Amino acid sequence: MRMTTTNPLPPAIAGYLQQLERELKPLPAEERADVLAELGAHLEDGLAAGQTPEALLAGMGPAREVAEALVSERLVAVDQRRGPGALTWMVVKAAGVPFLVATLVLLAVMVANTTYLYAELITHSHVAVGTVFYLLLYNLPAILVITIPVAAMMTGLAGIPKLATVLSAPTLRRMYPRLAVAALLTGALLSVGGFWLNDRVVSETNRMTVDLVRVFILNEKQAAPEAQRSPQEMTLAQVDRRIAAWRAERDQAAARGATYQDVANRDKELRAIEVDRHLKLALPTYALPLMALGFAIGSLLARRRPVPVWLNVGIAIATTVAIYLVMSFARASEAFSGSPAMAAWGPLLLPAIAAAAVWAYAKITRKGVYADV
Amino acid sequence: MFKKPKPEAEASDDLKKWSSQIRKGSLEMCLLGVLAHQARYGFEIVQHLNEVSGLAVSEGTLYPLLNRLQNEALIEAYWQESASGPPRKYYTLTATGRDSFTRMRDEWRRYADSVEAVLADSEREAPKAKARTPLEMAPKRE
Repeated sequence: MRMTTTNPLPPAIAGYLQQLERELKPLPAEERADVLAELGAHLEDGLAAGQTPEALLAGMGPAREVAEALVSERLVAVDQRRGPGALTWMVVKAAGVPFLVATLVLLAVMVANTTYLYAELITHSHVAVGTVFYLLLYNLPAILVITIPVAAMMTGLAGIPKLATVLSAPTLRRMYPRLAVAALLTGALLSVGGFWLNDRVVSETNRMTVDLVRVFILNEKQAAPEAQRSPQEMTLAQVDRRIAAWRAERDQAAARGATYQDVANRDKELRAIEVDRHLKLALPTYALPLMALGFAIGSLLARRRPVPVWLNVGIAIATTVAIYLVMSFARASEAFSGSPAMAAWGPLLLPAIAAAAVWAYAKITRKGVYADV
Repeated sequence: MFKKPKPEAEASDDLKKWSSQIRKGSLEMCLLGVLAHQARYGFEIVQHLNEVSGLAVSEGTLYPLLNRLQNEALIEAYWQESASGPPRKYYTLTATGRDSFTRMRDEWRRYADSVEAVLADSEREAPKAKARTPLEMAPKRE
């Protein structure tokens, strides 16, 4: 409210008040000023009564703890005035905003990248702008499939620290086990949704892209014959049928005594399509471990309040880069030896192990990570 | 990695924890009691609770508690200039606070009487238990 400091304060006290002001950031400005004036008056009175700055500050306790207790008291009061519907809405907003922002940012970056590549079609190959526009449009679902897992990670990464600033510690602690379950369920749901998108929509848009390129750019007369379709243009069921057919052909060839080279080539083709088949399932599945990873990292971040923006953004960028590196390993995994299943699913182990490790380190148990706050 | 606290340190830690728990429960009532007759500011309350009443209370605990009681509308605050020193935030009881305090005080007295009765009883029985020597107890152990 008012700060009438006549004598200069000892540096230790002035520093303490400055730190307190920083830690009280979650409070509205007016309340913050009120608290600072009151505690400042207390310290001044203490000095006037002959107490040493050290003894005074020791009695007060660490600025962070005092601020946390004050902020928490205020948030408890606010929470009690809020209904359960308002709490649900806050959770949805805290998780939804990072998801949308991450999706839009990643989408913008990837579309920009694709546009850059396609621009050459217009300038050098003289392809109509409209055709290139459709190429970009048909590319969107495929881009979404790989942005969803990273956006899922952002929900927990940014959402939990956000909730920690708008909810009191007791309320958050009470909700935490349910939040963890909700995060995992949402992660599973996003995996299933991502699979559906990849299987039904992306296969179709890939098919349309290939036909567009054939007819309008390569000037072919008709769409590609079914046998020439790549696994990326097929649904899981179609790929499975092709694998079965190819395997039968390979066995027949081996039985009628085809050359070693022929059988080896067929094996190689079979292996490649089997990796693609597993990738159709493995790529969307990233959403689940990444959701868990983001939730655990977010919980760790939420413990240090207020979370500096640079830390949040830094962790978000670093993990995103790491994830795309891992995911591109998965796509390049045809080059690795070993079973097709392992080649496709192996890289997924990295985020899964990371999630489990951070989950264990953050001690996210049934009692909840906030048990010690 | 596996730090084992010394038994005696553990015992005194437990006592400290227990002691702080029983204080925590009664602090709210004491704070309301201190404000029963006059408005006081934070520094004054700490001085009073520590020196006059001998209740060890830290500033770090007091201010959040004042905040909470204010949120619960048991106390209210106003700022007042002082002749010497900074302006101070004074707290007084509200009507609800006074009512609450009276009920807490009655409840506390009833509780304290029960606790005291148990303690007095334990002290009365103590010598009798001591009188039993191992020899006396020996046959019962079969």
